[in-house]
Amino acid sequence: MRDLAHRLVTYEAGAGKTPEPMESPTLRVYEKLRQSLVEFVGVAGFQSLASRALTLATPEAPCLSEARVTADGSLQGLGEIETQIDIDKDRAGEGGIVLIARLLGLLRVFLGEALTLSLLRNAWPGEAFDDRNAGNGRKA
Amino acid sequence: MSSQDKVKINRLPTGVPGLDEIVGGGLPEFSFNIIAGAPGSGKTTLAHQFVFANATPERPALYFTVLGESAIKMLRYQQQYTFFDPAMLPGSIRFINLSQVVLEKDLGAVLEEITKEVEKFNPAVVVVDSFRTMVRKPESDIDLQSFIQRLALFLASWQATTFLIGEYAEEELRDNPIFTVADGLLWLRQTAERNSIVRKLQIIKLRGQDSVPGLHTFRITDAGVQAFSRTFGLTGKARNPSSHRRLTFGIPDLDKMLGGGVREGDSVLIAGSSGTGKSVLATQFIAEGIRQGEPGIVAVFEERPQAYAERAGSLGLDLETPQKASVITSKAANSYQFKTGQRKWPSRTEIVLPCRLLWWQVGFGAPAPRAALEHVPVV
Repeated sequence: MRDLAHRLVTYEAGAGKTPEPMESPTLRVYEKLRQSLVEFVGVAGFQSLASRALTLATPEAPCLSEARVTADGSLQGLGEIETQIDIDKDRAGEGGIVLIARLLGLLRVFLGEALTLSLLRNAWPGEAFDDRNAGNGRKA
Repeated sequence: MSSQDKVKINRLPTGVPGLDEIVGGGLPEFSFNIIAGAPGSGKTTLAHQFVFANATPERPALYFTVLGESAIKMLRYQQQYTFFDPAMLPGSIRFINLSQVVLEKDLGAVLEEITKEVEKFNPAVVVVDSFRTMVRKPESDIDLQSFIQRLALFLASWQATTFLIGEYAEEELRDNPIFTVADGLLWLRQTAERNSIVRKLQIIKLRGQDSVPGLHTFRITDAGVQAFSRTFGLTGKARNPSSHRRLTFGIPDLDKMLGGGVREGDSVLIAGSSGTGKSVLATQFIAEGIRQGEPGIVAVFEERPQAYAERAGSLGLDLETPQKASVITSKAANSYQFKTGQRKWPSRTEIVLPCRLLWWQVGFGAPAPRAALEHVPVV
């Protein structure tokens, strides 16, 4: 799941090289997951899953201790962590990947791999998610 | 109006083995249906089977979940069934959670949300699960009847076949406006029979086409819901006996008394008190069939087939050799499964005709399978 999370963030980093978006690629991945999942699990359902993922991810990436999941399921604090000049950007980026990986991991636990990948394909229609290239970067 | 002038109502496969026979080939396209029953009666599973059988990327299914079972858990459990194809999500089947709208707004907002999604995705099938939890809100700005009328009208106009799922008690049948509006009403029950629970399904209402009346047994396995019509279904063709042939017992004087034997296709009950020779006579019927080159099937209740064959051997009737040659089949059977209709063995397609069928130990409660078989002599 970590490879998959990394791949999604890398994809969004590539997709974000346009004039408008200023938010971090991790946040964009999180938002896409939120929009996709809220549709079928509801706001409260997503909020619960995201809170659990954050709790699981924080010991692994202590920089996430400043982040929190709001009532509508959006993530606060991660963007600030990633943009702080005095924090190692790689470490902050890694924290975001850990969080995304934990969220995807929960989906896999509850829904299984096939259904999780179906949901990801829906959120990232251009991507091919399978075992062979799950560990690779953005598809050319 | 001639049959040519009538509008043709397409029937959609239910995806539930046995149910299409009960409803005359499938459920009417664009119908507005209720699946009602107590918790745990199989409502959601039945709806899922319909959805997976009919959804396509061009005409997807929208599955609205409301309060009650969370969507993530529902998908977790439902994917255990063999009919569940994860590749159909979310392209052909979209799950949409309405709990927030239901909790924070009123029925008007719910209708608006459903309308928005239906107009966006153009679904062939719409399911609201559970509808009952949605209409319990008393502070709605539109009354329940108006909401149902508008929902039914909208979904029919958008050419969607709809299922509302709800936990209803049978005494609500009379007063609830939803049952008046619905085109189809499927009621699922679990009833206690002695120490066992039997699942029953009833088509209380189905506009536009016939259905088999009465209570039909169903079961839930890893393949989902499977229904068993209580009589002949409406889609299977009944076959009439092809001849008036007589089948002998191999007991010359008895065959003479019977006018040449049992008429092919008849059901015969051999009754008598213990030790009067019922079993021997019935076994002779099968053995005579084997002598004449007719395959036989013996349904053995409360006894092992091997013990049955050995006992026949002690009477000079060899059933073991033809059994090895697949001329005769013996099956240990659970009378309860036959009694409740959960097992129809053998089915017409399993029988090699001509064939003799010996239904053993009918007295233990299994009905003779006359209804399931035609022109197979049953003793």
